[in-house]
Amino acid sequence: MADSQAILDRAVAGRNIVRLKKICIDEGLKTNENRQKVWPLLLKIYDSTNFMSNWSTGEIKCKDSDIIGLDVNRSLFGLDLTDAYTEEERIAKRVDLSNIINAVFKFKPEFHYSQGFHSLCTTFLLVGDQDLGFKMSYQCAQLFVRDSLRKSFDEALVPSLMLFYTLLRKLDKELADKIEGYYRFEDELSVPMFCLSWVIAWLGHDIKEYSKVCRVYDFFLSTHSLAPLYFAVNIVLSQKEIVMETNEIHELHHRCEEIVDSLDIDKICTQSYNLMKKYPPRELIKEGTKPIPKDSPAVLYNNEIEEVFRHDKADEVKTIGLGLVLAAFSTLAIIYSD
Amino acid sequence: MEVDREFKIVTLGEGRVGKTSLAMRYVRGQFNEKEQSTTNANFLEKNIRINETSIKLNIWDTAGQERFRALAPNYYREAKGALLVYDITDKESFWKVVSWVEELKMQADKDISFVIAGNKCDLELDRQIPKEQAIAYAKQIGAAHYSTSAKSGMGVNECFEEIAKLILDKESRSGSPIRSSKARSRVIVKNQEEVVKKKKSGGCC
Repeated sequence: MADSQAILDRAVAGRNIVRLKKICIDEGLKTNENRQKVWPLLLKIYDSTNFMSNWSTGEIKCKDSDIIGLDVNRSLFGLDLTDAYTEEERIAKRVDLSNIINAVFKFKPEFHYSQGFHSLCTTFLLVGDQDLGFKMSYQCAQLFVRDSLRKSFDEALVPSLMLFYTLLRKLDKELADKIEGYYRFEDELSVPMFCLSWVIAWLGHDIKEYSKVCRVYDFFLSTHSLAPLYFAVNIVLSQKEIVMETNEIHELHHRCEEIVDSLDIDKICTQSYNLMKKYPPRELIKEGTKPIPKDSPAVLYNNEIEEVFRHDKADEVKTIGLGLVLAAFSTLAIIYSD
Repeated sequence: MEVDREFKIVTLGEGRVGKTSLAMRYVRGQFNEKEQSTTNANFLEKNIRINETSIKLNIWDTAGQERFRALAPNYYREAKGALLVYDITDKESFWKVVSWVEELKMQADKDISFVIAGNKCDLELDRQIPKEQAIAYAKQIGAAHYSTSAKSGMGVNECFEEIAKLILDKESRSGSPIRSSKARSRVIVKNQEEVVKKKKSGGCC
């Protein structure tokens, strides 16, 4: 633990983003302190003091303030951490949360608030404070979840959700047939709605344990905007028996709601990363039935995850190289000793 | 428990009018001031008995925010009943019900039954929608109207059971499989005053 903490601290100090991403993917960041240091870097906030420094001055309102207010007023429940709050603590956090969400849409008027986004902002607030929470929420909207904040879900969210089927079909035709069967109406396939909130709210709406939610975010923030889809595919793969036992679409929804709390998140993260390496997002989106807009994070930020893949490959080469050198030495040693 | 019939019901209405609270009150008998907003849809089920017929209600409680509307057809498709909810303290939410009715008439099962619930009746002082106006509208579209409060429980069982009765009724008239063709005549409606007399061919009540 001490070793891995030292490695992490070195990577933070040296701004070794790829190394940090690998840590997030493989083991997660473990503590809030680590997340306060690393998440801003993953969200390209390299100097948090000067980034959007005046965001909280002036009136913080936006076109969606009404609905944001209503969602905020029934937020900060449902996680073990927030359920333990006193009423005063909850009310204070709600003020922060309201400012954060309103400010995101104040400074990004082209985005449209979507229920579920408040869940993401809640996590960022809980990990940071109001200031860092805003900065992370703002960047997350821009770099990761922009597609669910467009005017209509049809523009980009629906096309990317359809990739769930594309990906699942590559891995398990039987399971893909089963799930598609639930969503096929008169030959038209609609989006896999059972995982909609996983994709929109990054499971923050579904998992009860705060530390597990954060672990999921470690993974999503260090990979790609389509990571929730790879994650969803791995969840159903890991729960194939349960899914295959369902007979009705409502059973599927019901069972999927139940299983998220007992998932082995570390394992799903590893599997999802391996799946991304095998079928990279850049290739996957080419196979979609509906086009994804060019300004979608799914299209824009492929280089970054591919850099992590390359780093992995370089590591493998080093390991193999070292193995070969050692083998050569031992062979020589044997020859000489003869 | 053996079930004679299974009905799919969907709750629709603007965000935070109390769709989830009504469904939760009905199915679990609980009211939670802190009900979180719904992203996607919740699924709930409840077994009820209407005279000799045991019925399983599969209730899809949908997200209300306008942008989720594009996904709603997936939930109301094949639904036999819709509970359209508005908040009596919010005029806009009533107009949203009107627009849902228009959409359902065009897109949903042609036999779908409507019940309209004016929710949050515990906040009578803040009422923005006159009850008469809502009842007149319900009458016009052949729906029942209920004044409900998920908080106090008022009208909650009645509005869901009314949907089940309407569906049974329609089935019995169209000759679909049903155990008791007389089911509807023996149903006791507790708050009769809330029930709009429906203009339906062959309908009773």
